[in-house]
Amino acid sequence: MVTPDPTPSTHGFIESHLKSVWRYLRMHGANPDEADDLTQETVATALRKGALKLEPKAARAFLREAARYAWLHHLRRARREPVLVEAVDDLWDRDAQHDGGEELLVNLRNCIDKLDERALQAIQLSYGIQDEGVGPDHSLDRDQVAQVMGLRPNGLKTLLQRTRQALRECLERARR
Amino acid sequence: MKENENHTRAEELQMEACLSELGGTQPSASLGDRILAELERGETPPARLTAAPKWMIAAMLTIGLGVVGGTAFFESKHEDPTSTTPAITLDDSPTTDNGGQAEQDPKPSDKKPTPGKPTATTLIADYSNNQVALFNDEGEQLKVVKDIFGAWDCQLLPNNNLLLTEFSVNRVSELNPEGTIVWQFQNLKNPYSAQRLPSGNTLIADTFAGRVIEVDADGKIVWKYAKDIRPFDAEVTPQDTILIADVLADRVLEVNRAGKTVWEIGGLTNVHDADRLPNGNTLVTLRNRGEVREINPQGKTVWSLKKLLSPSDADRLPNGNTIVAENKRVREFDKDQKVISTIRATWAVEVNRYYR
Repeated sequence: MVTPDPTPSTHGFIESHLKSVWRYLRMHGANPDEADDLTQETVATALRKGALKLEPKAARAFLREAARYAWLHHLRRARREPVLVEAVDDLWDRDAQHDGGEELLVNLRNCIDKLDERALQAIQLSYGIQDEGVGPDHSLDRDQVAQVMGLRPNGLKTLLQRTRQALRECLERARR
Repeated sequence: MKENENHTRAEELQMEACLSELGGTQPSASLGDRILAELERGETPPARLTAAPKWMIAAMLTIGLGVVGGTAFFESKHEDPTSTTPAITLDDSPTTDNGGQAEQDPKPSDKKPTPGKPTATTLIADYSNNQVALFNDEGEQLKVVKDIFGAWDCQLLPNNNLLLTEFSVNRVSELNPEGTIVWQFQNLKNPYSAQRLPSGNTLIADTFAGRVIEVDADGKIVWKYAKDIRPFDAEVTPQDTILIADVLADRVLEVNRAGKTVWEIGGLTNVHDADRLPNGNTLVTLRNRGEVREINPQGKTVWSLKKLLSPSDADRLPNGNTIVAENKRVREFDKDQKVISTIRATWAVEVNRYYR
C-alpha cells in the first residue's frame, strides 16, 4: 500500500484538534477570522514539530500552549493589553481542556432549552440559535431583535445580560 | 477584587464565544485544507511559534513519546468507508498501560483462561482521548481503536465487529476486527448512542436532531420517534418498546412502535442512560447529580449509587454488580455499593462488559 502524503493520521490530527484550538482562541476574544488564522499557524506548527506522535492528552496540552503563545503575540502586535489571558485559561482548564469544550457546549444547549420563553427568544434571535441546536448564522442585529420583541434597545440589553447570567448559573449547576 | 472582576469578564467572553458558536459561527470550512496546504508548502512557521515554546515542545514530545514508546497495541485509523484497504495496523500484544490502568493487584498477563469458562472483557469509550479500548478481566488493556471522534458509545457485536458512535463528526460506524469500516450512517446531528438490534438494524439516539431512529443495513430509516426529545440514550426492550433517556424534559420515557408513551418517569435531571433490567426495573444514570438509580415500574427508587464522578453510563452485570463509567474511572460496585474494581481512564463515557 502506498502511503499518501499527507498521511491519514495528519488528516485525523487536524480533524481531532482543529475545532478545539479555534474554540480556545474564540474564548480568548479572537474574532472568527483571527481564530482561523491563528488556528492555522498553531496546528501547522504543531504538526511540523512532531505533535502527531503525541498521545491525545499531550497533544491537547501542546496545542493549548502553542495557541496561547500565538494569541499573546497577536495581542502584542495589535498593542492590546493581555488582561484576561490568565482568567480565560483558568476557565478553559476547568471547563474545556479535557474535551476541547464539547461538553460545555452540550450543557449550554441544555441550559438554553430550559430558559423561559422571553429569554429563549432573545437569545435565539440575537445569536441565530435554532431550536435543534447548531444552525446557520442568521442572527439579527440588536436593534432588529429589540423591534421584533417589542423592546427598547436598553430593555433588550438588560434582558440579554440577565439571561447570560442565568445561563452561567445553569452551567455552574451542571458542573457540580 | 481585580481577580474576581477578571474572572467574571472571562466568563462573559466564554459565554459569548459559546453562544456565537451555537448560532453557527464556526471555523472556516477550508481551514483544514489551508493547514494541509501550508504543510505541503513547507513554509517556515512564524518566528513567534518557533522561538518561544521550544522548552514546552521538548517537554511535550518527551512525555508523548514516552507514552507511545512504552506501548504496543492495536491501533486504528479511520478511512473512507468505500476503501477496501484495512484501515488499521494490528498488534494484539497485551499491555497494562496507555491511559487505562487497573487498580487491582498486578496479575501475570499470561494467565490462561479456564477452559469452558467465558472470559470477561470490558469495552470503554474514552471521549477525551478519542478512543475505544478493550480490557481483559484482569483490567489489562488488550486493544485500542484510535481516532474515534467524540466516542460516546461503543458496542462489541457478536461477530466481534465494533459499533461506534462519534458525537463530534455526526456518524455511527461498524468496524471489523481489522479496523475497516463495513457499515456507516452519517445523516446525524451529534448522536450519543447506537444499539445494534437482533434484526441487524441499528437504533440511534440522534441527539441534537431530536429524534430516535432505526436504520436498516441499507441506511434506510425504518422507524422514527421525534416528539420534543433530546435523546442521550435509546434502547429496544424485550417487549419491543423503546426506552429513551430524554434530557430535554429530564425524563425517561418508553414508547411503543406506534409512538405512544407506555411508561414515563420525570424529575431525572440530565439523564444520560436508561437500561431496562431483566426484573422489569430501569437503571438510570444522572450525570449532574452523580447518581445511578434503579427505579421500579411504579417509579420508586429501589437501589442507588451516590456521590459518583459525573457518571454517564451504568450497566447491571449478570452477577448483580453494577459497572459505571465515571469520566476518569470505570468502577464496578456490588449490591452493597462496595467498589469491586477500578479502571482508570481519561474521560470514560461508556462501558460494556462481555462474557465470551
